[in-house]
Amino acid sequence: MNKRILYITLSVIILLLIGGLLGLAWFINQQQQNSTDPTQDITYFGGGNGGSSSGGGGFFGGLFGGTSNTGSSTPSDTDSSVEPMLRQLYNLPIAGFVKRRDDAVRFVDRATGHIFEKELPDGTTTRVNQTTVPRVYNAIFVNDGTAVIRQYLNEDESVASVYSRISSSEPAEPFTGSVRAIVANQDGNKIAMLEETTGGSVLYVADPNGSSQQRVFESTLRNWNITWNSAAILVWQSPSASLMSSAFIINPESGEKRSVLRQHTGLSAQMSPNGEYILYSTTKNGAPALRLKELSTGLITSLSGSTLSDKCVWHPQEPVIYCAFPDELPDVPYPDAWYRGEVHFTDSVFKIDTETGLTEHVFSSSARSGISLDMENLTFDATGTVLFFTNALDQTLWSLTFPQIEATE
Amino acid sequence: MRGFISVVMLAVFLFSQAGFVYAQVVSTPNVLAITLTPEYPQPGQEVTATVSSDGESARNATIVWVLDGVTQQQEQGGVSFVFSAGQNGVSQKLDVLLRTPSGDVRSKSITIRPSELTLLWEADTYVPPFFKGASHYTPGSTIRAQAEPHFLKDNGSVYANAELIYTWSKNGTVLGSQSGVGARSLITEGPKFLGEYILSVEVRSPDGTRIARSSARITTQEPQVVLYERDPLIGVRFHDAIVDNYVFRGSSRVDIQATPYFMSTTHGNNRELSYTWRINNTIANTPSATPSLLTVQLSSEGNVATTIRVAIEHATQLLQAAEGVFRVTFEGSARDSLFGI
Repeated sequence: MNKRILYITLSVIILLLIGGLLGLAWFINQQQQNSTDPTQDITYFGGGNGGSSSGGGGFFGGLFGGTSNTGSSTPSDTDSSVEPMLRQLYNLPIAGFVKRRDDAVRFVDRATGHIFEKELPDGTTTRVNQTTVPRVYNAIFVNDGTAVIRQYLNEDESVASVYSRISSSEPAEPFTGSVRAIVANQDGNKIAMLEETTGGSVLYVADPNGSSQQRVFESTLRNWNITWNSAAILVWQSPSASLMSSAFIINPESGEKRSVLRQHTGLSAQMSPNGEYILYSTTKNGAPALRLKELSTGLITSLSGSTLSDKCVWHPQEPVIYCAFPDELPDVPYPDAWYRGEVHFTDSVFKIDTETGLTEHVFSSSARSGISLDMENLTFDATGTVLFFTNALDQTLWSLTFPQIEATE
Repeated sequence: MRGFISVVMLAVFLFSQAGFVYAQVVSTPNVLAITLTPEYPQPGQEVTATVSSDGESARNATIVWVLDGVTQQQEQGGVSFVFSAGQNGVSQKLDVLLRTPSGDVRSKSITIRPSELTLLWEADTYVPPFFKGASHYTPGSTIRAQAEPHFLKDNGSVYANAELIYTWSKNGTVLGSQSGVGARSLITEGPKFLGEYILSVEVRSPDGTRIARSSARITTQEPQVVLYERDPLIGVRFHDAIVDNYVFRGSSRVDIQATPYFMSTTHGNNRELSYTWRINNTIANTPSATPSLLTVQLSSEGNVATTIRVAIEHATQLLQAAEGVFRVTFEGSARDSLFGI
């Protein structure tokens, strides 16, 4: 009799556990199914600064137009007459994305590490890799999006990095060492990885899976930011509004290092794809100020408006820069407060012609429509007609499609 | 007798000549000196050259400044001249000619060879993973510094770091044991007792013809505590800090992570750190293994407004302490929970 009661009790417990697991799986799947629902295209009419003149000569007028910490930080401009189309591509936090083909984008779901591909024409989303890596904080796609490096945290907050081929069933390959940062080159066939050592840090160029490492830079310092969107690797000291930072470019083949920016407060930077210019922001009078430096001549030009270079991207085909300018800048230290997630912005996108200096308003995310976009990780497709970005507020993925204007005779 | 008188007259003549020679030594031209500010200009840097004389005041003289053979400035009393240092490694010849009211003309030349040097430094304090900003110096932590010289030889090649001579100093006091040939890196204590100091490095080429100096003011900051929600699915939401008047929506249970920015630690739950949490002035307990994590479980269904206070102390760096007070609201409606808790 006692055995019978025991068996019944055990059976009930097992059934409850199975039911609980099934329920949890259903719950998680419900969250993920949202990604397959067609997204609603959102268009904006009018824009934030509609029709305002550039005032005082546009580019150079903006230099003296000034910005205030609590007022508007957007540049004066000429308004674009054709509005782009805004779409939310994924409504859950992502860890990284890549524009893979002309009509698809791949991204990593932050919660599960699963990889999805979204077809842009019809909005169909497909799960292309369901290897579960919980709580992925950062993901770097390589080899044209056919492989990915996912980074997550161990219990002691050390960063773990694993490489996997998306369409392969092979187990993921972990990186050794304490890797602080990884970026891929323009072709996605090489990575630059910053590794922390007892003496400081070392920057390696390696194959996407971390093998064939070539040391190109080492330092006593550890806090470096890196990008590799041109032929050279750009490294700069982690910035603060109250500290000086410097930036260097490194030849990934020879390791030759060259100083490009010296001692600026609040410094953040990115290279132009052709390697001829460096766009950077520094803290000036408490607000971020954008500048453009031509590396061959050393000529520095101030750009109008106030934003961080982190919120800008170079057009892939034209000598223009697209930047997200906060409609208002709270009185806090930059970029510190934004990096810590203490402030978020409602942005408007402007196009800056680096040859003429003219700025052109192209899009506003108005708080009145219920959508506030604090844009980061701006990336263009190869044609420069679709701008991808994440919303810093919630890490969701978005796109802005610019209508192509046909030339008329 | 006549011979004795001749010797005496010769001696008198010779001594008088010697005295005349001595008088001639006393009357040689005054020495000019040129002082540069900064003493070792870097490329493109604005430089002020000042001429001084140990004799007749230079301020009464007509002074001509010539840079690389081109007259730049000519005026009475123009003891100072401002110019821009040239390109890295390219010599500049600076001449100054001084004509006194009495008609004396004196001159002085120096050669300037600007060499580039940047002093980089950072504090060895905690910032969370993937944080893109700088770490600040707080009491008792360590400073990491690195000199970045770009010295050019006459043939245009670059001096290797290992060839150059580095002299590190704090507030002018040389750190002899950490200076020397190739000593481009420095790990040292920061300022004591909430103070500050000037960290400097002087770099010289082996032949002493290239010299540059760079300095940084190291000031003390306070650690900062920032709160983030720790989401069960995506982890710590470092992209969205819990600021004053923050509103939590959606769940009856919230995990709040305290992040000890700029403290001397490697991670938030390091045993060197102690956390004291209060909710509405009532002490709230946290697990011993994860003292930086506070779990709030709500029992009521309505909106709940509360004040969360967290204080962080360092066990060995007693001056490193941070405290934050945050007024937050837990929204009662639309709590989304699988099991209804």
